[in-house]
Amino acid sequence: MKKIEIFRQSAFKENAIIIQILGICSALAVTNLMQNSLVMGLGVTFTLALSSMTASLIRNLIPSRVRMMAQTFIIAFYVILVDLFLKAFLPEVSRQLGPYVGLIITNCIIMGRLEAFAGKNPPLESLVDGIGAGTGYTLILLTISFVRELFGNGTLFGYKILGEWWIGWSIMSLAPSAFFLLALLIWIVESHKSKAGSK
Amino acid sequence: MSSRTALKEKRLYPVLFMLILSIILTSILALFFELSKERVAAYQELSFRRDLIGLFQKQISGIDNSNLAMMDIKQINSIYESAVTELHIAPKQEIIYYQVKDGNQLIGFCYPFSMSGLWGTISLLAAVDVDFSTIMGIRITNQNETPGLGGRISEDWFQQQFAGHRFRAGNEFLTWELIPEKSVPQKEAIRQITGATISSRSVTDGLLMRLKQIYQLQVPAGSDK
Repeated sequence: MKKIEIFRQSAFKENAIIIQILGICSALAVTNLMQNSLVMGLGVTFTLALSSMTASLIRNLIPSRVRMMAQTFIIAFYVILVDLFLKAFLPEVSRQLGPYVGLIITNCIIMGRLEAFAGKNPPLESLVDGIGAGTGYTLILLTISFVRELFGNGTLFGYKILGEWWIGWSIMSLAPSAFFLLALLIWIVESHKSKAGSK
Repeated sequence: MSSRTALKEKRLYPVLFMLILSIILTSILALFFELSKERVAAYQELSFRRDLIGLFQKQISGIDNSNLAMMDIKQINSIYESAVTELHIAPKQEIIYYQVKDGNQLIGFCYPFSMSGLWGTISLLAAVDVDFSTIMGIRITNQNETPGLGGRISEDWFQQQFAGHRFRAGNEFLTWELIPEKSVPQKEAIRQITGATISSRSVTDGLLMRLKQIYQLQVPAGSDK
């Protein structure tokens, strides 16, 4: 398969959140602000891409009995590396993100792609697959956070959009609103897919 | 059967594999940590000093809000070293606080406090006047509250409203009422964040409780004993 096709498939056709319903916890937690969503998306993309490549590089050496343990170890390694890097070189971003960076370890998408793709494919293809899945994840996070931040705070990326007259909808800052928005997004995509399939 | 397959089927192979993987990955992390730790510590110290000076920026000559953000490490350190003295509270000396002066004139004290929030510890710096009766300002230095809700305790308006609030009249400690976010600012009242009562109350009650504890430890304002 061509690399562009691998990217397209993991980012859009098999989007982790909308199609595979993975990574929901973080999608609920961080999508109240666009900035958090973007940084979380970039962190996941970086971790996912490099974890996939590393797991693929040593896929023939990993014993099947400890396969998942080794994969988790690799993921944790990259997450801690991201955390250390942010603390040393982008301390303000690290300060704003707080505990979110550590939460990347628990993202099911990473383990899912390592199991489904990186364990069976060469390193470069796995890297592209990781970048694609991370990009798809980031786009969905940004879409949900756009609605939540705009209606919840009247801002986008912290900049006032709706003015002082706007009374923020508190529900949009709470996790349940992400549930509703995510369900709405899945419904729209699935409806579009079934319409396209019936034509 | 290839030699690699034969090796993988040995009972000890998974143990050895995980051991080698652990050694390699943790060594890389340890190396990165070692190389970056001075940089991280330097930033944390700078950030702390900038926050502390920021609480007294109206009282310390020659700085204002705009140029504090633009100051480099040397300038921050120079102001900090000339204005701030680290002190310890008697009798056990385990509580650190800071005495702040403008030239030779004492302008206030600063206390680092920690309190429980909704999800974790909230840390802040509290600046109080020389009489130990009025807040000069607070600065949230670390918190893990819900972003967009309790996390808004770090917003400027929330922190700035504490300045000028009296917390002690004689030996009596005052309490502050929590009022809705959109209310008109009032004396002895704190505008709480909508949808984040617990975080707002944690900061307000925690701050008052810590100040009372400090006072009960018999720290005479203006004394370093």
